[in-house]
Amino acid sequence: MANNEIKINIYNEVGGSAAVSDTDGQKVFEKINKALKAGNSVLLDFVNIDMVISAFLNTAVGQLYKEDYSVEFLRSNVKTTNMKKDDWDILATVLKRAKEYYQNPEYRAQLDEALKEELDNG
Amino acid sequence: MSIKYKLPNKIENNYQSFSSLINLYQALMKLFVEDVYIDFSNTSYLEANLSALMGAIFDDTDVFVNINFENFQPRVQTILQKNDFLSNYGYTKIEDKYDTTIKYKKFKSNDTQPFYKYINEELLTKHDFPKMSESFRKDFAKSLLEIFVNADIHAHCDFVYTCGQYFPNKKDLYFTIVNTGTTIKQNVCKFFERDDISGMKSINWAVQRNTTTKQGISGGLGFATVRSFIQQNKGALQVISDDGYWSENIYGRINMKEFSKSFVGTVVNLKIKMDDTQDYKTIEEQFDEIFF
Repeated sequence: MANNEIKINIYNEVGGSAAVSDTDGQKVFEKINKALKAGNSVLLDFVNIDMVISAFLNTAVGQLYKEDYSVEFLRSNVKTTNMKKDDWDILATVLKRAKEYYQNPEYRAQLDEALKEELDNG
Repeated sequence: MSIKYKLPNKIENNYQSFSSLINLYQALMKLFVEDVYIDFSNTSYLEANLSALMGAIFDDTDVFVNINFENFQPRVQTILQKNDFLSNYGYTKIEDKYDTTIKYKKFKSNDTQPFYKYINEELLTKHDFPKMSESFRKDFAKSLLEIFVNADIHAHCDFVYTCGQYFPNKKDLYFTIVNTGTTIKQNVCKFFERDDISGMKSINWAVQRNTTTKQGISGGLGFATVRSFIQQNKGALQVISDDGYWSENIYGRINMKEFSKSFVGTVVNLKIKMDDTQDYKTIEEQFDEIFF
């Protein structure tokens, strides 16, 4: 059971209505990670954010799969609010990709091999 | 001492014109003179979105030389005054009554919020954009931002140059984003620890879904987002980096070529069809608030 719910206001973190840069994503990731490690849950508040792209999400939330958290743990302890519906698909795509990348080294090796072959034959 | 460099008759969004501008870039980089006169006397037609590439070239080389322009044909000079390109070289701005130009701008590579503001103010609220669906405008902006942030993440450059041009008769809008940083070829060669990968093959690899040269972090979705938007819109995409040229046309056909010389940076050029009435809302499954 988490101690407290820490709300992270994305607008304040990125300094505008577009959550796009990987540097801002890294800042957000560090805050989430710190809160989770301290036993808290996290609410990512996207209020006033009208643009989100993969470069931001890869670092902000994709990296959580690199840490030692189970999917169940992340599901119960990291939530989003006020995210525009048309940004949900990019979030889902980023998380799916991150899950494959960090949690399935076999898949990663196969993908790397396939991409390398493509480079040689392309 | 000074030298004159004559530009070609037409500067268009094609391989030949990119090749001419890369040759100009390489020629300027090798000069040891004080003044260079860029002679536009032959140039009767210029697709003004390419101001982004000219700006990057002249900016990158003006450390070594003073750039001057001469012998403009009136039509070419006017468009470059309308889109603010020539304001950077002491010319006055001319008002764009028909609103077909999209302002030439130079951004710091980490200026993501100002770039987003520019897209909204200079692009999405003008031209025929207000007629387009909101989802179209958003997906287009998303594509431009993915390209813009790549300059900071992968090219590690200081500046990014952008410009656009709308051709209302054809309903074509071109938008160009240029950086003068680490090229795609340099990144791909470093990633695979090889030195035998050509510029065009490197680009072809980099634009695939899930490929990324970032170490230890998932990614590879940026170009996929751009390509998917362009394909749905039946537009076209060109990427120029190092000595590689890569393009994808409305039928999804890919064309790759090499240049005889290299551009130390990357150009991403998008052609958007503005007579597109599709709704770009994703028809994928709906998600609830739990994603992990």
